[in-house]
Order: sequence, then structure tokens, then C-alpha cells
Amino acid sequence: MSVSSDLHLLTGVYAMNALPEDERAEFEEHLADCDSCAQEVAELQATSVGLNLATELAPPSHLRSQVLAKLATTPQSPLETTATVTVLASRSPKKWLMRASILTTAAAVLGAVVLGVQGVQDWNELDALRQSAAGYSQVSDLLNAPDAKLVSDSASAGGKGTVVVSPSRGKAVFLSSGLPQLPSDRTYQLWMVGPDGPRSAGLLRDEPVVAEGLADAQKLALTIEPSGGSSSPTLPLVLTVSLV
Amino acid sequence: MQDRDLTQRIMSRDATTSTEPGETAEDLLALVARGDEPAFGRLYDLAAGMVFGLVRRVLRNEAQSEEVFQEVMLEVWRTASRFDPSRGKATTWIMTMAHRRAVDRVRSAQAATNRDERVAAMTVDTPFDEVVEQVTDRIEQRKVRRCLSSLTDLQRESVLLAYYQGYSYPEVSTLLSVPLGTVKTRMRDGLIRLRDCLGVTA
Ligand SMILES: [Zn+2]
Repeated sequence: MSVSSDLHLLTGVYAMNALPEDERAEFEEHLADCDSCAQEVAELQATSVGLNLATELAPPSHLRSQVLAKLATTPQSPLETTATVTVLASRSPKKWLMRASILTTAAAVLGAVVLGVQGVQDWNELDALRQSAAGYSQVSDLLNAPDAKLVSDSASAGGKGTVVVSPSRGKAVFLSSGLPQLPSDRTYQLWMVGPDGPRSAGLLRDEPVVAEGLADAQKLALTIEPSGGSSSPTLPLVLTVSLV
Repeated sequence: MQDRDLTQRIMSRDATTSTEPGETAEDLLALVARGDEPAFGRLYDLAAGMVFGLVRRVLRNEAQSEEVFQEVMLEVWRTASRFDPSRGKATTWIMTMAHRRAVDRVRSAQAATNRDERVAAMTVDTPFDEVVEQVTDRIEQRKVRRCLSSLTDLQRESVLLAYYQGYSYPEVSTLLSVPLGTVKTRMRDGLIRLRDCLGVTA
């Protein structure tokens, strides 16, 4: 009895793959028979994975063909293994149906959380979160461009701007650090500066800012503008980062 | 304007990968279980970034990460038939597998080299990695970090050491100088609190 109540406490450790191998095997045996642990493990695994959803990083592209080439010689487990059948048979189908819908909802909510839908105070924050997530995937995408490079420059008033730029994709991602805090009615705005003059790349309200359609822009420049942003930059430039 | 474009892009992100319209990771896994290689290719495109990101984060070593990443993708191919949609999302299943493989590699690498070297290696990062970390930090700061900060120090340390650095709970117990039983319950309590904070309630 005390052994089995101990086992119930292992859901968290198991969900984080933190059990040593022998205990892992023992707990998996318990898991096959214990509905409440199975449900808790599923939720805690989804929670652990949720901690990490933001860290997407594209693998080197040559790995794709390497993996696909191995499929033909990699045997697959047969459909409907006996293990699965036994586990399912030991549980009432109704309970499983219920659990499936609960988990689907939970997973959907978790997905939404990371994109900022759940518990977000206002739509600005929601937009900010979406932009961060979009920016993040664009960074990892940009890093894979053959001509991607990293450039940075310091601001005269303190702080720094860092840019990942890929001329071939016409795209750059801008990230600041340590810039002076602005009053609430002011905002930093990023500009793409080329021979035809400056074009807005967006506000720094949330970062990273993705500057697209760089075309022949030579540099990115940062200015301080009224909180809604401006259609043309207000001097002085806080910071410029050369892209060429 | 910019915000709207980005919002649309993130909202339509699933549709712009090479999956067919409306095709989910669950659909793809079911096809893969029947030996459908093109479906595996589409699942690869959907999951590779997530899987590699996690493996790279746990292992911190590019060459090892590439090896483990390939092992994970092939394990998805091999064991797709064991995925049970009534137990959770396909991406959770894949990511749990990826984490487990990465952690197993950390532990076996640990047997060969000592832990201090691994810790030292962690600090040698390329500038690109720093940018990626910074961006990640910003996203996590928003919600996940807020939730992490609601944990007690012991809960948070236990979760982070186990999840991101692959320590087993006896190792965490040693590192934090707390009894084994305490680590077990703190990890569980911590994850449950995160589950509730992030809204993963049943
Ligand atoms: Zn149990």
C-alpha cells in the first residue's frame, strides 16, 4: 500500500524523464494499470512540452534527406501492438472517450497559452505575443539562410541593437538590449533606410521586429516617435545598424 | 499594419508548411504508422524545428544534437503505430520522446566525460545562439516565466534542472542537498502548479 501510494507521486518526475532507468520501468508497469496516474502524466507531459514550445530551431537542412533515406531500411512496429490492446481493454471505453476530450481541450488551451490567448490582459499584449512568436520562428528560419549574418551597433544614449540579416531573403530581424526606457507617450520605431528614403519597419513595442522587403536598404535606423508611430522618422537617430 | 501582417502569418503558419490543407500531426502520424513515406516527410517538416530546438537545448552540443535528432525522427517512424490519440496530442508524444532521447544521451555522455566539462561547454555559445536565446527569453518572460516565478525556489530549480539539463531526480537531490522524497514531490507539485498556471486543467 505504501509502495503504491509512493508510485502515484512519481508522475511529475516521470513526465520530465527524470527517473533512473530501473525505476522508470517499474513506474511504466504501474502506469498501465493506474488511470489517475495515466491522466496526470499526460497532462504533466503536455505541461513540460509547453515550457519548451518557444525554442524552435531548424536543424541543418541536409539532415532531412539523410533521415528520409533511412526509412526504407528501418522496420516499423506493427499497427495495433498487443500492448496497446491490453491497455485499452483494461479500461472502460467511456472513460477513455471522456479523457480524450479533456486532453484535447487541455492541449488546445496550452497551445493557445503559448501564443498568448489565455490570461492575456489586453489585445496589445496578445499582438505582442503573436509578434514575438512569429519573430522567433523567423529568426531560426533566417539563421538557415546561406548568407545570414549578424551585425550590431551601440546607441549613443546607451543600449545596443542586434540584427540578423539575410540579403537573399530581403529580411532582417532586429533586437534591442538596454535601450533607455521611454515615457508612455513615446515609442521606438525602426526604419529601413535606402536610396529612396526611410520606410517604417515597425514599432519596438514588442520584439523582435521583423523587417521585410529590405530591397536596397543600406541600414536599419531607430528613432523615438509618438506612441502610435510616425510616417517619417523624427531626428535624431537613436541608433543605426549597417546592413552591408 | 506590421502587427496585422505578423498576426496573419502566425495564424496561418500551419497552412504554409508543406502539410496538406487541414492535415494535423495526428493525421500524419496515422499515415506514417501505415508506412506512408511522403506523409513522414510532411510530419518531418512540421516537427523538425520543435524537436531539434528541444534536443539542442538539452544537449548544448551541435554534433550530438544532430545525432539524437535523427534518432528521434527515426523513432517516430518506427513507433508511430504506438501513438494513442486518446492519450494526448501528437506533438506532445513526439516532444516527450525527443526529450527522453536527449536526456538518455546526456546521462550516457555523463558516464564518459565528467559533468563539469559539460557545464563548461554550455558557456561556449556562438553569437547566433545568443540571439536565439535572447528571443526565446523574451517569449518565455511573457507567460511561462511568469508561471515559473509562481513556484517555490525548490520546485522551480527541480523542474529546470531536470527538464533543461537532463538531471535525474537522485542527481537533483544531490545538487540541491534535499532528500529524495522531497525532490519527487516538489517536481510533481511544481509541474501541477505550472499546469494550472498555464491553463492545462482537466
Ligand atoms: Zn498511480
